[in-house]
Amino acid sequence: MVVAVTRRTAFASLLAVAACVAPPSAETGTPVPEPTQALRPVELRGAVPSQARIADYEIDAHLDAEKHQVRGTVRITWVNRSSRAVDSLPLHLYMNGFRAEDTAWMLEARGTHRGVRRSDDGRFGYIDLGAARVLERGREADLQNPEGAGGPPQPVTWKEGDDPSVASVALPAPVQPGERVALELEFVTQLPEVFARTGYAGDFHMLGQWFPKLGVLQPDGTWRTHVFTLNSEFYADFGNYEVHLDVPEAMVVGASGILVAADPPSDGRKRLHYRAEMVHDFAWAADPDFIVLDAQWKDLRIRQLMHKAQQADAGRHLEALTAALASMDTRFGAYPWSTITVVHPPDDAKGAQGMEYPTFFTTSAILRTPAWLGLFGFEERLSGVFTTVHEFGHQYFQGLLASDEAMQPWLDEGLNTTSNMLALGDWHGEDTWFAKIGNQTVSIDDFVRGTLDGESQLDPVDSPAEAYRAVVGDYGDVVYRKTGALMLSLRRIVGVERFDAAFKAYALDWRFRHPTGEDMVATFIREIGPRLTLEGDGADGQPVVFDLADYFEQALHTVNQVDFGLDQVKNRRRAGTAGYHRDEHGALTLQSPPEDDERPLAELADDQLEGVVVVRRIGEFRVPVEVEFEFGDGTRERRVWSGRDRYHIFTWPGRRVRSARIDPDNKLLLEARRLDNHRGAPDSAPPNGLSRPVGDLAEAAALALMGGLIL
Amino acid sequence: MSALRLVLRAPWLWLALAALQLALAAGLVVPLRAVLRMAMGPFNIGDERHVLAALLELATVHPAVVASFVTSVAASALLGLLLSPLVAGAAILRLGGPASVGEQARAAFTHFPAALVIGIYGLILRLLLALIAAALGSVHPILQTLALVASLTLSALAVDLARARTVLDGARGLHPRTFLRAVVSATQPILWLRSGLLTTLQWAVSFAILLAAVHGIGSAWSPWLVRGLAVLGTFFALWRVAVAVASVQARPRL
Repeated sequence: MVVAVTRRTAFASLLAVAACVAPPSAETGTPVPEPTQALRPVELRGAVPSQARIADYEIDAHLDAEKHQVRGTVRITWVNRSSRAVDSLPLHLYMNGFRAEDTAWMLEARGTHRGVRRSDDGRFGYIDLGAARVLERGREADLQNPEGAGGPPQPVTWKEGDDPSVASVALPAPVQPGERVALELEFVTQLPEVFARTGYAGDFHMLGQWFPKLGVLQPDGTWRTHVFTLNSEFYADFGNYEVHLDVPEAMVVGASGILVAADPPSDGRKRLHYRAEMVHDFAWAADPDFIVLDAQWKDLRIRQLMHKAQQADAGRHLEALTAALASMDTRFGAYPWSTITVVHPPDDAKGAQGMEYPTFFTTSAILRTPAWLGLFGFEERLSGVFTTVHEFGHQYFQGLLASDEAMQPWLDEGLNTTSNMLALGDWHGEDTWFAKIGNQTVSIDDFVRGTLDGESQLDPVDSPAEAYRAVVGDYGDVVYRKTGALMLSLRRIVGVERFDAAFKAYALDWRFRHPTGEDMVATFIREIGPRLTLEGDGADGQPVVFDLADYFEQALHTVNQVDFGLDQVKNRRRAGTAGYHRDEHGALTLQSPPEDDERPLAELADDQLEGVVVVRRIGEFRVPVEVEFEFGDGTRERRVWSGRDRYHIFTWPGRRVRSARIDPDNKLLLEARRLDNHRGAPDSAPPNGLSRPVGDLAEAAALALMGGLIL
Repeated sequence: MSALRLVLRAPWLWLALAALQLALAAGLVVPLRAVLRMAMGPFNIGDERHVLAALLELATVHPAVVASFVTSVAASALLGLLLSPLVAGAAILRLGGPASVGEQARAAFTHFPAALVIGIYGLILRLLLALIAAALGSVHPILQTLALVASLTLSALAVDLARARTVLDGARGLHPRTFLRAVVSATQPILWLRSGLLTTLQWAVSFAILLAAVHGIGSAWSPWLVRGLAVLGTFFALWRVAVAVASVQARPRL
């Protein structure tokens, strides 16, 4: 036994030392030629739906790195694909969320975003529009050269909405269905000191949501242009982007899409031309201290930008990124773009960490733990790299399946979290622990379950972003983790293959589109079927039918909790035949009880007993659940209970029940409280499993302390 | 006589101290075990590799479990601190030579105030030296660690010497001068090295106890290994005190 400890300790020490000195396991740094096309070849990525391209942007921007300001012009060419005429174009001016303390965003955030606080003297950010003009309009407008045929530009007026994060431009004449309009806007964007995704920190500049963006015209002819609030994030139409950046010569730039051209520097500045196709946003970062590390996955160019001090993490992040790419490319269809760029914001720009933009995202640092913790067998493998997996996952769940993040944030954050857990499973195997200490593991399931109690019971999953109030603090638990839990619970209930096929069908059907929650549910019901007969014996001998629509209704639209418990696990004397019965002549005759009737239960033979187990549904969520019974002879049997009634009594005549366990295969990730899921019969109850080891741990801590103190 | 021989000459003292320590540790976690049993009721966590996860879940439902854990451990530390001056008189007397149980008990109580005050002096010295060591951190972290180890071992030796002189030589333990003289004596390199090595071994045993406990959560072997290590730790502690006793005995009497 001592040997085992010594070996484990030595192994842990080796791991700790290796973690400190091992080079990145994936090769990084060899320059990879910039792809010539922003999209991967059509035979790899599949065709883009013809109606998907709606809003093209051509941007010319000049970064003043001293003032942390961008001046530019954006030309938006928009196609009216609805059946109604449009007489104004609503705009998002997201950067105005940071304009003052009384914007909708700032009122909700109160100066804090994901734990990063805005410094009291931090600069506000804003975007201000200058001249606006319509360049072209009509069915045949040339998108590449809009001023070519439609006569002189027509000045138009714009005005801000009640909140400065939205505005609208009045058009001189309605844009008819099928027609196009080209709108040109001058803008100035003042970056805030970064604490929430975008802004600057020293020489580091992160430009996300930095230019005016159109709202989304819904199929029913109404616009979706939400006020920018703390959790609402972004929603836009697909289109092509041509972006010309004029930046100080020393700046190293990473951006969405591909670098098409770089003009020779002059007067200390340089011009870069980027192109991104079939995306709904464009972001970039610039820092003179960035180093660039390239890598390749299949035909994709991967680029990481980071400070020199962060370089040791590059290999691990690349490993995570390629694992996520491989998983999602297989599970959800080919990644359609030819590049992916990862920015590692420096330490003083933590607010910019962990944000997704098309073909571009920011990640976070890997936790550095002291080497001595390795002696205790401490390992964690998700800090930093989970951010990479998660933000890459957004390339699918919002980048490609561009759901409305303001109305149904669970569709991108929650489904993405689901996909991340699947990717981690593909990467590490199904036992996806995220931390180990000693002989203990904490799994991702444990982590997810730990977040499902408390605040996560306050808002349904299918709620608009603004329904989640910062002061309540349930956004992350509900939108990310609970969605992940409900999807993975479903996967374990209906079976991995069925679920994965349905998830893939959803991802393929809705690429380059704006799916809603109803679309997702409909796809799953279509693929899996509205009702599924579950494998295993039902509690009443009848098969148990699982109703998908009911499951989604409860999981998405209610705050019902999954919670089962074992009310009773015991054995009782089997009912005998003592007493008066009529004989064949119709007379009452007395049958005496057996002589051993008074013996204690423990001494009775199994066939004289009846095992009884009462399973209770404590939570309001009705979902089938499996129960495993262990009998006195060591055999085990399972039954599936529909979970519809408040409780169910299982009886086992002639069998001694030793213990019962609810959900033995850990399918119901939605069930946060599971300590009452395993129970023994009183005559054979196993120890609770906690008081001895935890008591031993406390005793050891006491001895360790006293060993140094008693003398 | 060598310090090791002094300890080997008093096996019952060693075993009694070890037993006292084991009993205290076991006794102090009885309430915690009871709280856990009550909180778990008739249920079982089912998987010994998820003790920590189950404990976290239980703690969210019954936060008193955490309070109980912390209280048990903190109480043992506090009790250890208080017991140290109490057992010191008896231990030093027995290490110094044959003594009956009654004499040892008398020495324990008679010298308790002085041993307690010397312990407080030692605590002050540790704090002062630790502050100096911490300041060296700006020079180099390794230097800081070495300085910290040196200062803590020096303090421990000074306390042992002051108590030994009080018990064996009749020095005035309450007077700061006794402690200051002990500090000066503790700077003798060989003495400091011997005592310091044993202090370090004591810490190593404490660290090994934690390692064994963490790597063996829920196992059958871990508690016994932990207890065995604790007995070994007591031996090193006694040996360390014996180094001071031997030094005092070897000193020419005034």
